[in-house]
Amino acid sequence: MAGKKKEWLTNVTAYTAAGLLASCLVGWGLAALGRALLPSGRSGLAVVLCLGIAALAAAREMGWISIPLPQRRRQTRDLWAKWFRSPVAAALWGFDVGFLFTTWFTLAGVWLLLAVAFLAREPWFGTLLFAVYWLGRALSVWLTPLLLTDAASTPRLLVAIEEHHGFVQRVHVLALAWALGVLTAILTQGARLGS
Amino acid sequence: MTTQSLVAPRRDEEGRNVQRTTLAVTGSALLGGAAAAAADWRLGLFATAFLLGWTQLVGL
Repeated sequence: MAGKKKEWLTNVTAYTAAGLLASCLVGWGLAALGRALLPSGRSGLAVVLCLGIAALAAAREMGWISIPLPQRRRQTRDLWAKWFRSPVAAALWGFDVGFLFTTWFTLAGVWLLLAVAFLAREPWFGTLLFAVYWLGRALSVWLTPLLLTDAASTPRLLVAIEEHHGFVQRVHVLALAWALGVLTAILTQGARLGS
Repeated sequence: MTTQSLVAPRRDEEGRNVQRTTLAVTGSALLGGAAAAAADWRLGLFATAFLLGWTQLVGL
């Protein structure tokens, strides 16, 4: 039993660390790209663009508008579990999912984060933003033991999560509404999104 | 007693666990986001980032 716990801990740690690295690279890369491509001194316009994206994403998840979500329609590869030892497979899954662009987005809000990192033009901010995103994403894996009613109920949990899709989606919209509030405050108070 | 009647209550319990945990995570993230925003408005966006990450659990 202790061996199983240790194995689980190793795998989840490998998944989290690899995903964190990939997400930080995405955040840093987008911000560095923004810094290289975008002119400075357009912070107000950047905030307005982010407000528009947040509003569109929220409206989409509320079902008010129907817009396709630009994304790669791919899931991470479960075959890696057969090809590699479990910590290696977990790290590969983490890196793949953490990289964002290689797998499904599922919900639209991630486009807001991509836009904020790009438009902020500050690599440290983009890196931290995506590190925090990944920690939120990986937390569900760390908390899985609290969600399960017994050790063998993982498939049932996945069905339960799917059945509560609407509830989770409303929390997603709440997060976007929060972003709308923060972005509005940035705009009205003359604060800046980036450099 | 059918297999279905054995499975359904447990799935309901797991569904409630998902809801309770999501509410706790949401409340904590928004409180943290409010505290961060007090220091710098941009840091308030970290609460959004965290919750957008958490809600990807429906894509597991």
